[in-house]
Amino acid sequence: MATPALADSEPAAHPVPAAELDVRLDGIRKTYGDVVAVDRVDLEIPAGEFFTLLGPSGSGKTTTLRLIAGFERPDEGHIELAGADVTNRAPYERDVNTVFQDYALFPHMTVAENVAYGLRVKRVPRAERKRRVEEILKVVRLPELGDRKPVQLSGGQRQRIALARSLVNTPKVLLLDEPLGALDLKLRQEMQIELKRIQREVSDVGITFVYVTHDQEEALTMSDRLAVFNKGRIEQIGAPAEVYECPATEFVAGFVGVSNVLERDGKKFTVRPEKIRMQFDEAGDGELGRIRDVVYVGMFTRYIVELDSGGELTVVRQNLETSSQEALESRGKRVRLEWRPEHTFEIERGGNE
Amino acid sequence: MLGPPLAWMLIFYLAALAVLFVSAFWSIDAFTGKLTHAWTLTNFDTILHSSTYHQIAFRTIWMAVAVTLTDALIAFPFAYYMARVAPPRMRTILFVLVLLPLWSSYLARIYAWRLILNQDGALNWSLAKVGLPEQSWAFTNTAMWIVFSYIWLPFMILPVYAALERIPDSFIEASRDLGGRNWTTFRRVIVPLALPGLAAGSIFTFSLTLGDYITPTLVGNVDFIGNVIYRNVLGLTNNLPFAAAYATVPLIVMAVYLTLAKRLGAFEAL
Repeated sequence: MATPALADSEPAAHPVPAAELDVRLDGIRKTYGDVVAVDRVDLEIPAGEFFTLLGPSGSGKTTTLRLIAGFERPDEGHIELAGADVTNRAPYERDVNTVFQDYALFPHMTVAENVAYGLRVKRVPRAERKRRVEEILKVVRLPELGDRKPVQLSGGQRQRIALARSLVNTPKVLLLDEPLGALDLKLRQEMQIELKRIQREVSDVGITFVYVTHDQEEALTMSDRLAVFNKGRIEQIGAPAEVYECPATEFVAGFVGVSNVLERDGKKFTVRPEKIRMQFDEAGDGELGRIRDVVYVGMFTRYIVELDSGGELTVVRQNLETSSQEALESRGKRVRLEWRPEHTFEIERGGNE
Repeated sequence: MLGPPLAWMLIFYLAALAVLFVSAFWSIDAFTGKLTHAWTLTNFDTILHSSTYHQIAFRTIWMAVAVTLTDALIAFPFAYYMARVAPPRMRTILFVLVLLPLWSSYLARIYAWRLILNQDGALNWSLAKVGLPEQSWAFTNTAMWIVFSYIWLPFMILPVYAALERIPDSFIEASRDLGGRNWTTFRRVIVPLALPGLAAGSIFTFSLTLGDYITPTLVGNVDFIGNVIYRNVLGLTNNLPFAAAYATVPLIVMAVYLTLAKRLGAFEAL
């Protein structure tokens, strides 16, 4: 199942990597009246990957997901799923399934009927339907809830059932639209781990996960790779560490993590707050400045330092020895900031932020 | 907080019903026409064993069923268009069109239908114009069926519209996403979710038809439950106890109907 399109593609005409792509967007553009929601987006997602579309609201990430699902048609460009052009196919003709932000569980059906819906409309025999529903309810760890109605479930349970309803169809691609957005923090962190477990559990059938979120931490923890969206365009695509450590644009630097951008000699560069060492003696290399603000966060303290040569940097220090009192008392003190040159990254001016 | 409204219900509604029910066990003196406060089952005996009253009751119930089905069939596509297809402006216009008749007198509308359905009325005139055979529906059950269906239609459209309008787009997208084509989505998702609205609307169309006595008087020529009660209350016979006894028939029918409608979720849709 990992290379499903290989069988019917001619080896000479199609190189192997193209066949292993589950999702390919080619110059996608979508407008609503005067508003450009998605602007010439290119994207390639290989089979089995956990890929995240990250961006603020209105950045085009959800529209991109809806274009892949088939709920929207692009004005320009092509969408390929497993090598086949599906640009003009209806949602029911695409081998993808969606987990909706509001879960969209049918209220008039039981949990089991909801999960079986996709199999039922595809006329899968009753016995097989029953077996597969039971199986997937075990995967999401809610095997006894089949007879309940969606209103009788908690938020987290609904989330799992929505996931099961999609996964039971073993689609080529699973689309998730901010699926954890409605859950509280604790449950969200649990579900992040759960989702990764479930993805591993279904990995033998090779389902590609395309995940939409505005939460950078979620994107960094869960994804194999991610695309950062801004104003309908992709600013950067890469592995979490790559995007976090070397942001390509000022927007990415600010959106993924804390914006720590300095301009020196006409060049802009960024350095991550945990990579900066803060010294209270002024003798030595580095930038001199004054602590403008201190935010005590418990595990660590965040210092905002005003630099003498212009600009501001956020510095994060673990509270190894400092108490909250000591940390807060350092406000207004003179400091010297040091960092290694390999931890700075020059960024493009783009990102129109 | 339930106290005051409940007391109101008890005094003004249930108490009135109780008096009605008690008076059903009285009778009137055949010679003097005076009310006799002695307990008797004569009225119920007449209703249960007279084929005339059976016929009238079944005719009324049958008409209520026919009107309800007709209104459901007409209201569903109309409400669907209003709720899920029409652009906002069109929706407003349709809303006004649905509600407009309710602002005019009910009697005026029934008289208007009399003029339309008369032998030399607007309908026959139009049929003649396009070369179709003339109809003679005036003062028949067909006329009543048409007029009833017309006057109660808004009461069906509004709850069905409300139910359809409430279906989130994501439900329809989810069905399509899971492989449901348009007809499947309609049958398995939209209709079941509109069902409480249909049940709620049917409570109106069914009960309003069941209790009406003006339409049968003006456009029909046979007795309905409402006419019989009306005649016994204000007519020559002036037999109040019998009217009360016969009024329990639609009450029982409605009680059964409401129980069924509740099962379909009609009360959640209101």
